[in-house]
Amino acid sequence: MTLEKCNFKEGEHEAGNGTWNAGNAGDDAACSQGRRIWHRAFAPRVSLSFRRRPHPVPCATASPEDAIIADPVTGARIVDASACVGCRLCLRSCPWNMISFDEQSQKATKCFLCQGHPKCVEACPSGALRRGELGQALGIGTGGLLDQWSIPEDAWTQDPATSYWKLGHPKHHANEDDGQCGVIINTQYNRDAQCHSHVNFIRNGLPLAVQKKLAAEIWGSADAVDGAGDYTPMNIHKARRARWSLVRKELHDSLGLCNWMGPWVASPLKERGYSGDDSLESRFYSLATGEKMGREELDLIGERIFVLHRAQTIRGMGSMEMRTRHDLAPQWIYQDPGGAQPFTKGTIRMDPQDIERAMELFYEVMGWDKAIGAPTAKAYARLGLQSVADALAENKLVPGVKG
Amino acid sequence: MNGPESQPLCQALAMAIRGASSAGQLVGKDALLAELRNRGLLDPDEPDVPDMEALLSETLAANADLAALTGISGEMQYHAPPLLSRTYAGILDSKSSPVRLIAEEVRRNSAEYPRPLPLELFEQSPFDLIPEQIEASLKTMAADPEFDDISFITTSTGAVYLFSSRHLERPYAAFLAERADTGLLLNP
Repeated sequence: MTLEKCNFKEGEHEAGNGTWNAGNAGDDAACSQGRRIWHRAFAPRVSLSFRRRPHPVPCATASPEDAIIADPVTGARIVDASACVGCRLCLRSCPWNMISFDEQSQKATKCFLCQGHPKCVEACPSGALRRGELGQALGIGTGGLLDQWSIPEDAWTQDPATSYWKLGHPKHHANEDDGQCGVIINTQYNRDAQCHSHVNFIRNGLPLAVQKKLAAEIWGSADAVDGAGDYTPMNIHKARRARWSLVRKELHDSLGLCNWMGPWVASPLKERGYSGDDSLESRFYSLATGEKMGREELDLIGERIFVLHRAQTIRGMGSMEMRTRHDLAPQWIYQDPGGAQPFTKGTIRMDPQDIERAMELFYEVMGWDKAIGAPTAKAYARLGLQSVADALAENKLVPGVKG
Repeated sequence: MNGPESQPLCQALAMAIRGASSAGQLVGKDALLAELRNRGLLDPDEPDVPDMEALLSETLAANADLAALTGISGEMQYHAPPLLSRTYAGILDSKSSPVRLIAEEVRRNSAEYPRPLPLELFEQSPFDLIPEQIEASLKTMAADPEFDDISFITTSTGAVYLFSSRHLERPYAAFLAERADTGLLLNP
């Protein structure tokens, strides 16, 4: 199919999805369509507001002769060849590059949805063109798909192969990589956790004994880290490592540092005792800005960012019952296909009671209310977020504070 | 020979060891003796050769960046750790005995990391074994009780991983092999 027959239904524009055509590889049309697919999938959200304007058809607006009209049967915008004067203004105005120019007839041309029975939809073997389903799926994410495809969340939470975590979002380096630390980290976000601080330590390539030596130096005990699939019961040192991982992840995201690489607390150099530098972030910051900033001071800022994120979630949910309503884990973490028990070598199966303890210890090191997992007024104040606490308190969203 | 008289020889030996390490090679006593002769520091027609072991001891004592290890042949091998690490030196030394090289690497990795090793690793640098050498080594190990701890696991993709049962139980080795072969790739 060529671009000459390409159209884009108005209603689909507004939904942020649409149809596109599979051009022949190597031809210009395919290149153009590739750009279009890219544009459609990743276009800045600002274009959505543009599409929702009262007259969301830029090509029709641009046409001086009103040559872009709505097909009364299909609703598709089509070119009225009898009115088109070949000025090409519609080509330039279309944000989706949907209109092409027929050099022979010297008129604009576009897809007319094959009068309501698009050939591309019939031909597509994967169904991806079906009324823009794939485009919509990309837009609404896993959670939306649960509803749209009528798949109960339970079906996802039982099987680790789905990589599903909670609230419609996938896991990211959870218990399969880092036991309780991975679980805690995955409970904390409203999306794919995208945290690599913890796994960069686990996978730093050093022997386990060296990792444990470093763990003792950084988090107070060699027990802060386990070998993969050889997990031991939860302890406070693991909670500290989870906290450190989250804080550094927020710092990396905010400073433009790479959380796929850092933090840099391990070294390949024997002469350094394999120790890296836990203050590199603050040293980078000081170097780049000229403002002297120590490690602990910068970590406090990272924690402030993380807790502000938490406060926003509490406000958005209208509840401070984070432990039972937000900090959830899927059922598959408590299962093993071979029936292996938790804390036996070679399984990533977690123990429910141990995970409960993990959450409590994590809330403890964060200074949050252990029963519900919400930051306390004291925790907000420590981070300079008193005004945030005051605003939440008005809605009875701070533990122990009456609004 | 020692003291001021041996100093030029020791300096030449140190340079030769560093040069070999820079080129990714270990060097032994005989090669170093030849190097001294090549540099014209020894008379090639002189039947009496200097006490190389004493010279090399003196060289190592005067140069903290140099080290020696006893090779599997029993001969001392020399290297400069900042340029060629002890681990790398051990691998190079063991290349003359692929059976021992594979077994020792498998045992060390099973004990220390712990992790099983993919068989194909031994085709890559610095091991650089050819498939025929690896196959012959596995057959030798299978028949020799000295290596009865070396075992293998096949992952779901068909990749073969070696481990030592002295340090890893089979189920855990299987978990780690599957994780290395598929889990880490699916979870970058």
